[in-house]
Amino acid sequence: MFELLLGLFAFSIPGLLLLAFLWMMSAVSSMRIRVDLLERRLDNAENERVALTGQVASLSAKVAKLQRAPVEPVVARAVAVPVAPVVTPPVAVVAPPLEAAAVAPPVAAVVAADLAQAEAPASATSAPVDVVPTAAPSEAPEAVRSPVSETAPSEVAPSEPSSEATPMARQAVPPAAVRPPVSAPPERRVPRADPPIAASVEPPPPSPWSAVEAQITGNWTGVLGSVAVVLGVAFLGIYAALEMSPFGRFGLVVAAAAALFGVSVALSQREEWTALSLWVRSAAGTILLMGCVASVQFTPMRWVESDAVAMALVGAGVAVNLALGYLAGGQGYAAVHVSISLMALRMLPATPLPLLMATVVAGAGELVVVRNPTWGAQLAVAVTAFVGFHLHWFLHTDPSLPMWQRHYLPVAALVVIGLAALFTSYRRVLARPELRPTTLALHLWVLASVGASFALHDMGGWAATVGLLAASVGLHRASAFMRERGVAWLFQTDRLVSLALATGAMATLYRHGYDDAELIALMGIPSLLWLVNEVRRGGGLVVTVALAGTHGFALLFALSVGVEMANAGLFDNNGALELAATIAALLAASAWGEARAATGDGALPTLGLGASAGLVLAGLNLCLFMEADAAWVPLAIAGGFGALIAFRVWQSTAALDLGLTMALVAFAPNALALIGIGAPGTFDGLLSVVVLAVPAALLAVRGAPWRPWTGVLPLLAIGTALLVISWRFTVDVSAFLPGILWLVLSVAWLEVSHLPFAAQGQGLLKVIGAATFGAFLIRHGLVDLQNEARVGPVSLRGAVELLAVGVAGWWAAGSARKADDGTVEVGLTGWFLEAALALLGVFIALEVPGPWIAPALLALAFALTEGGALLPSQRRMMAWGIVAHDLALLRVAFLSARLATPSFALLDQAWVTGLLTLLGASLLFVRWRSLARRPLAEVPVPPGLQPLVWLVTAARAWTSAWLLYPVFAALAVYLAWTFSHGVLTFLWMSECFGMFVCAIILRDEVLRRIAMLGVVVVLGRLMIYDLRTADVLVRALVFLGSGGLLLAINALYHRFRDRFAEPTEGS
Amino acid sequence: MNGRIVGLILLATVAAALGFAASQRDPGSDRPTLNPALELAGRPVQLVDRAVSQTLGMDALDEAALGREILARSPWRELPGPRQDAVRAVVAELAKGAHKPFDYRAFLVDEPYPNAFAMPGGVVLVTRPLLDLLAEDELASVLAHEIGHVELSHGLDAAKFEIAAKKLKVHELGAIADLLYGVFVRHAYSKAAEAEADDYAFEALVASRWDPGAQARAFGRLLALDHDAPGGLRPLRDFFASHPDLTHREAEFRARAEAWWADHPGEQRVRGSGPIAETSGLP
Repeated sequence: MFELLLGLFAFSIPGLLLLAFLWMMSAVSSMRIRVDLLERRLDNAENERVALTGQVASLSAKVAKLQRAPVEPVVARAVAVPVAPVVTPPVAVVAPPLEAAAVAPPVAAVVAADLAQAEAPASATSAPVDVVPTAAPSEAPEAVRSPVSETAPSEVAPSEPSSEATPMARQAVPPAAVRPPVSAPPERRVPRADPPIAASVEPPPPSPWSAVEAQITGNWTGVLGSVAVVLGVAFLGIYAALEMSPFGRFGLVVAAAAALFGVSVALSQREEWTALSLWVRSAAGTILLMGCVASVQFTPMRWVESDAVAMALVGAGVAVNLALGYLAGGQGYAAVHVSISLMALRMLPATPLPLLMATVVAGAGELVVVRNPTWGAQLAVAVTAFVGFHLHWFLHTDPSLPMWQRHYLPVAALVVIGLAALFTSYRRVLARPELRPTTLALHLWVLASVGASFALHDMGGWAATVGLLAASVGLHRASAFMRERGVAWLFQTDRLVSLALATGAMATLYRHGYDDAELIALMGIPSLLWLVNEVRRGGGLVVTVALAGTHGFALLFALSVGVEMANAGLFDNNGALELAATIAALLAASAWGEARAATGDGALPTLGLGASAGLVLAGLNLCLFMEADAAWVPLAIAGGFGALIAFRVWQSTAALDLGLTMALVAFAPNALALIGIGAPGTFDGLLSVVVLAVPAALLAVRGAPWRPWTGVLPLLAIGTALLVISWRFTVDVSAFLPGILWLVLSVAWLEVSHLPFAAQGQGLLKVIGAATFGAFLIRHGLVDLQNEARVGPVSLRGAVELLAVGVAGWWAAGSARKADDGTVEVGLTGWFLEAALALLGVFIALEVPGPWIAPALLALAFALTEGGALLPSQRRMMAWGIVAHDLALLRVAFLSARLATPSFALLDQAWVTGLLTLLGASLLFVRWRSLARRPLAEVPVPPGLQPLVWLVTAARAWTSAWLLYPVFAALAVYLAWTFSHGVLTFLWMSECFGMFVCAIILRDEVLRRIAMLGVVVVLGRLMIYDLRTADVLVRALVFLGSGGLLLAINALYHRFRDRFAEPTEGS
Repeated sequence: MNGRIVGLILLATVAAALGFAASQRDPGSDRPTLNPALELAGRPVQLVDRAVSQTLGMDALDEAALGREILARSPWRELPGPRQDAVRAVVAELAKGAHKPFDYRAFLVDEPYPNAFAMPGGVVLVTRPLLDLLAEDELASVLAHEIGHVELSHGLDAAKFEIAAKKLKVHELGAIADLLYGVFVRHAYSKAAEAEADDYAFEALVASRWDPGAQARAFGRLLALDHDAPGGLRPLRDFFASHPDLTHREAEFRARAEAWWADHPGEQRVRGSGPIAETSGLP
């Protein structure tokens, strides 16, 4: 009882909030809809008025023309004016407003044609009729000119040209769409997207989605009523059956199946009932099959004792089902019968015979696709159903069964099903070789699902290794075959999968005593082999992935060796040697790739292995750092750098530069600590400076972007001296002071760069200022973060971060500049905005209590959105606002249920702040909707951040998809993990209702369909989960609440069904 | 006045005020360490890891079963007696603020070093020497930290693949997955998890009758035992360290306790005068 009360309490607060929210949305929706209806009535009245006016004008024109002189004077005028700008009367427009413009030219053509028919000689009247319907862009004007040139009146040709009269626009709407004879109305009026007054055009046929949706939504009440009646009858049947023997019950089921079959035969007599007849027949087959299974498996109906009879009976039921599926002749029937047959077989004991039967059923289900290559869904269903069957079978087998029964037999079955599925998949692809998402998805699904099933049979030894290698080789060959046939996408897919399998095969060697580092090295071998093999044939995705694998495994290898060295000590293993060998191998491969590129032997990519070599050196650097006390450490690191530099002198590549830079970056903290700032003046420190300085100098000499300038050295010296002096003289007062001073210095450098005398060295001054800011960031990360000093309730660290945000904002504002063409340019220093955001992120993470981080992120999202809207040069803040919004939702979705607190205060509870975040996120969506309507000139971004432009553009175009759908997704997850599972169905149904209401308000077709899909899923949960597990009272409440919401959805559908019309193309 | 000038004056003023405020406080350490930065960087990894745990759909029953299994496999056996009773009394008091449906229990175990650790499912193990080191309120802070691990499901996160694999009856795969995951991922965020448990412990002390400053004192006592005190910048060691730096933890929670006491000047809290084994006369 306590739990129930607690559940109700937990439910009541969000529930009330949710209901209040839904009520508000409902009220707003009804107000908006009323206003819309009033507007629409006004529009209709106006349209009628305009149409009548147009008709009057047209008739007047005709009367006037009949009274006029012959055609010659008119010819000159008609030819002289543009044809297109005839004003579009609303009666002719069947498309929503955007298409109104596109309708104009054909209307002009037909108007002219009508006039020509009315006035031209009989021999000419057929011309417009023949020409206009073709609507060819180049012909339409001529078609107009021809008759009009003889007869068109001056009223038809207004003087202003129309920009919409493009050929494409003319082609957009068929001329046949315009029937009534119309003329120019007194004023142009863009009609709304309402049904046309003169609806002489056939509406486009509804999409399958719309049909399904209308079926689900519109017939909800009827379906639920039917279900209730059927349930009642079923309960009566159960009552009756309880009085019978098991065999009698089986007879009852068979009789029911036979009755259904009879109904199907009767229905099939009429053509319009054919589809229903087939489905009824399928239902009969299903009931018969379930009866057979129950006869051998479930006690109340079990009358078969002999295993042979049992299998024969079930086999017969399966055969009947398959035959019915086959005879029905459609993919849907076949898929249903195959999946039902396999589901029935799952109910049998997990012995070899049902497995064999399932293999036959699934195999037949797959091979039928060979005859019907378009039946992709059937293949997917057959494979999925078999994989499900196999999983169920495996989990229910007795672990003590002999190997051949538990592993070998199912593996053989999987091989058969997998090969049949692949064969079928390849046949389908060869029949239609072009890349289609569904075909690719199906192929990958076949590979993934069957492959995952194999993973269950871990038989130890070499079986998995050999099996994976064999599969890899097989797919490799298949991919080669596909390449020969010119199916490039399947070649790449299979080649990548074969690479993954080979890598997996190497991973299975863990059971043969290889340690982590060796295992990773082995796993990297396939990537290197695939790379070498494919790079000879040119670039492509396979090369990219194999290259990434080679880099990745090299780095993992370096890391794992580092771990071993850290655990065992530098002198206890050969880690340093292994790393050195890795660097050598990477450099050799790099040299090979570059050499081939240099010879122009095909379009070889730059392998970039020099970058990995540098990173491995960075790893070595870090490993050696463990032994920083040893005097030889800097020398060893210097040796590594020396090797890289020597290689670079011999062969200069950008990747090697990158690698060297990364190694230097990794070395920097090492050197700083050794310079000590730990123990200044020691030999190690001196040596470290040399080690750091020499490569830097060599890098600078060898083509780094560095040009001599007279002031460079003095300015660099001043910059460095100011850094060091400010640190040395303030650090003893407070560890925060150097950082604060460096921030001030950074701004000072920027301001000095703006002074007139510094114009020549402005760039360098900015670089020094930016580097000073960078020094602050490094120091803040390494030193300030550990400082917990406070001033009252304020953390000094947080306050310094906010000051740094201000400074970074100052830089960001100062770096944007207007170009000559008026656009805003943002250089590399534009990254200061991102630096400010990173600091804000650190501030939120460290200073804001856990439950309030999500609301803080959302507040940041609001601030960024407003800032971006306000500041044209920082428009990309809007994109970062979306990122912050998504992060807030992620936290709500995945952390609200996990942030436990011993406090009982409501505001300390993560679920409360999560709810606030979700409500806030909804408001952000509303704000974005209003912002999306404003014009947006440009989104200036620094180099490398182009995706932000795309993000802002996409979010403006699809605001709901970017800002509303994630809210609903997060809400669904949040509800699932925050509240009791007993009330979850009701909460989810409430969410679906909310989505449905939002969809009506926003006229959002996708959201509406998602809502309906959600309703279907929640209904499934209601039937499967709640009926089985929920407590009686909770179950009753859930059923009542969910049913009420369903009825509300149904009522809303019927009330606002005009908003559900299929949007016309282009709207 | 030019807006730019105003902005500059504002920045300079804030910087000066901050500099002055900082100069009035303890100078703090100038020793560079990657530990806090790594803890921070581990938070997104932890978020993703938790999403994976949530998706695998484990619940309290799974967690309790796992805890029982680990305890059965472990070499530790409880040491009934007055010490264990004392520890259990503290745990029982702390567990009043817990939300998970576990019967929180504490076992005293025989180990030579002072330590405490938590099992999934609500079992907290405390070594005997810990009671010779910490006062009652300090012991409460350590136990609250361990309860925090359970409440925040850190143990569940560490063994999620094994639990999920058990449901599928493929234990070995799960254990291997957890092992690999632990090697490659968990190091990245274990410090974040420890910091989270620290936060929980502080909140638990605030909600209890004990002094919130006890947490910092407990860290201080453990720090005194730490012979491998950090020195210099050691990225690898910092990365592979499972816990945040004790020095940092001590400073952080001392500052937070001082802030709390500044906000609650009239509050009465229990503060131990010596190791609980001494003050309570535990054998």
